[in-house]
Amino acid sequence: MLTLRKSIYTELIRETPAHSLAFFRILFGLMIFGGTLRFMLKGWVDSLYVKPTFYFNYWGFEFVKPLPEWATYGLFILLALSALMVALGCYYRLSSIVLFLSFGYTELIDKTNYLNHYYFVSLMAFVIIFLPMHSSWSIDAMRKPGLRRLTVPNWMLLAIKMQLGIVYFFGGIAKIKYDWLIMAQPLKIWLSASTDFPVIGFLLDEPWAAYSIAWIAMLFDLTVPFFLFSNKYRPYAYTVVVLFHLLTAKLFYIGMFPYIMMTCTLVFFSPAFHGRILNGILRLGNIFGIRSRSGYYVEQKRFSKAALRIPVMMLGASLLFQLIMPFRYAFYPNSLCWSEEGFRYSWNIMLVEKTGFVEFNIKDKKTGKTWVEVPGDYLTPYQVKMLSTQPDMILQFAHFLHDNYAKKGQDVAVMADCYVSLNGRPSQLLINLGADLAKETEGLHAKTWILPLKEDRTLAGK
Amino acid sequence: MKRLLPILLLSAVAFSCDPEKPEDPKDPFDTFDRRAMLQNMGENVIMPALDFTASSGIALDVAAQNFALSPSQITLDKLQTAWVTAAKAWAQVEMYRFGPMDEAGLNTVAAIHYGTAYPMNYGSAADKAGINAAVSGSNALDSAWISIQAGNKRGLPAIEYLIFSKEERDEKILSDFSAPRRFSYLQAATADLRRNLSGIANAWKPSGGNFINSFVNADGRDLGSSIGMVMNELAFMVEMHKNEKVGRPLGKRTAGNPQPNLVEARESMQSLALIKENIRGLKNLFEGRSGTVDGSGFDDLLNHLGAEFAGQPLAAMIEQQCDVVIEKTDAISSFPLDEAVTKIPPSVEILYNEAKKLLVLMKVDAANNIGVQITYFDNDGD
Repeated sequence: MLTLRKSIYTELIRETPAHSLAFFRILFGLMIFGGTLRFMLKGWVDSLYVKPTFYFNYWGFEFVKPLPEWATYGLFILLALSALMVALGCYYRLSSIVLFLSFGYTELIDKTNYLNHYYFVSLMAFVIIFLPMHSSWSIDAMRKPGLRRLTVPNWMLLAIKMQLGIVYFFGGIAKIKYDWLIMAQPLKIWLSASTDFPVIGFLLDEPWAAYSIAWIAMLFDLTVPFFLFSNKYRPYAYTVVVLFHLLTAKLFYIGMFPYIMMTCTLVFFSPAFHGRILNGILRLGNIFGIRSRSGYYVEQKRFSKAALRIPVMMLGASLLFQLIMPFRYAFYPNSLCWSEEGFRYSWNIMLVEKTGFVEFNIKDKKTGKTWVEVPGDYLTPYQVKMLSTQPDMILQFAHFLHDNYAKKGQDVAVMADCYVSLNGRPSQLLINLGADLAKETEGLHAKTWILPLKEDRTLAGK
Repeated sequence: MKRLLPILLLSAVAFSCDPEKPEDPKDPFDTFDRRAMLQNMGENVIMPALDFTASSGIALDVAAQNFALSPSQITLDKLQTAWVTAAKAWAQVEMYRFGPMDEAGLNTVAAIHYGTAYPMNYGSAADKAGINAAVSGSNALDSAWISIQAGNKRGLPAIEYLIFSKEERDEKILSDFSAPRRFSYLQAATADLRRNLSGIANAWKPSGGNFINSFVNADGRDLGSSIGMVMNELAFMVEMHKNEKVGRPLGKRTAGNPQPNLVEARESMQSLALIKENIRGLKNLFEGRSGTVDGSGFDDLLNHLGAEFAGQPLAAMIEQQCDVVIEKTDAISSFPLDEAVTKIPPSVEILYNEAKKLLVLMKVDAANNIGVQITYFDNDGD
């Protein structure tokens, strides 16, 4: 036991070439830069952050407010620039913090737009703030010789690999669900309409295709981080990573996510591999007349204990947080994919095909008159779609409606009339029709106004 | 070989874990032919229905000409009958808001019907003051002039206003038509409607815009696919029926205070007849039915997917619920809808609630089982 502990410790503090961090920094920065440009060019800043008149904020982050149009675009430009600066390693400390904060702010404005891969990017952006990613192959290192490092402790690289591994491993755990494994849902629904897929399309309508993909995906997610760590199996594991993500990219509307993962997992390769690619870029640079910088003198140095205290604490806290978050659903009696209590930040990727309908019954407490509020009168169609299946958004919108009437001096009860179909199940009421949501509050407590899923067949009571 | 082991192992484990094979392994020849379904829906349901609106538009225009030649109670009756036929025909195709009736075609739709925006405001039907002002004005009331007027000054609602009056008797209509310019307006409007209805029907034809070709070819499930578009519009039709055509007059959208003047086709007292046609048209498209021939449609697709609701095939539930909505519409018919919302609101409430059930089956259950994105935005998922 002692030797194991010792060998783990040795592995953590072993020195490894610093350029692997630079390699990741450049790829990550460029991807965020490209992703942000894509987001703006597709007109999504307008449709997601300018057009809506109501925004669904996150519990605990109510202080994050939507910005006026010019400031919203400014924020996205700031985000793109900071990502580019991170890639270049230019004023890295500042630009990495700006990247994290600006990305985080855009995400926190409206939870309509929550995506697992945005959460992943936020976490990774947080991790790299605390690592000396600019200690080589950066403008900062060119400017300030004192920053230059030949090597860094291996745990710094491990922190990045762990962050990637968590996405796969917890994504794999999240797939151990009755619907996914035993019903092959929602894959069956999705695949049946993808029979025009190249080469293997004709197979996708077969019942066993959905089952095979469901089980392979679960096993892939659970094991691939470990195979990626192994020198022997890495090339094969990475080939599977590429094939797997290309398949998902073709089958589903998941935008950048497959490409982000394919690119990020290159960090698992050896420092020599990273070096070859960086030197390749350098040679390319020489062609364009950029002077080689590889020859400068670097002193072999170690980080002092004091300098590492904050990074180790912050990364440890982040890791602990991430180990707990995916399991918080266990504290709620409702089925996770149905009530979505504990659904976000838990790597529940592609697990639900949910369709819903919601409108709000309003009752004037004084006159007893009843009528209906249709969310489409206030929200964008995309917001309505998200609202119609997510209880916490429904609660928030009910309060918005209630407060609107209160401003006009009317005291009303607000009930949600909400039907949802989950993974091909018949539609059923999601919210207790009799519950006055204006009286309910957001928080970590179990929500009694969410009705349990009938026909719940999730594994282990979940 | 040894180095490939993990991958092989992984796949082997995956395949061996393959749980309970479904009871009946699917016959590979039996896989659902989505192109054939779309072809049937396009060629045997949508195009004939549009052809019928085009021919009813011609009949209405001819009836208007006959009425102008010899205005009498007899020719007025015929004209009114022709309008009702055209309006009912339109009610059946109102939901085909894709292809020729989408985006660029929306102006044409607005010229035929009225509202095109969401939420549709059926109450703003005809611009009566505007029409009367034009009639008493002096500019030429010809096709060039009418074709640039707003939707509430032409199309079905404007013609309805000219030839029907709920409050007054037909004698009043006939005496109003003593002004020759009123005939000119009427004839310009019916000719314009006729042109627009033919335009949409032709846009589908191989000899015209050939939209049928694009419709059949977009056989995926993605945004912009025909299945996605039809699914969206079926749900949208029921939503409009419930929220705007029934709910709004009933006061559902106005703090519980009924709004009788917001019914559709109030002057001709055809409100209930038209919303019945909406549901009939919807059911025909869903079933892929033309007349008595039940071809391949969404019902077959859902059955192929094994979609169920409460132990019954979902498709059968939807068809049954369409019938219930029609039945509950008939149950109101002792009063026109604008009177029913104040005189017998519980009956209208029943219709509203049954329409809501149909909406949930269509928008939630059918959409979930088919897996189409009921959305209007191409954002990334997960």
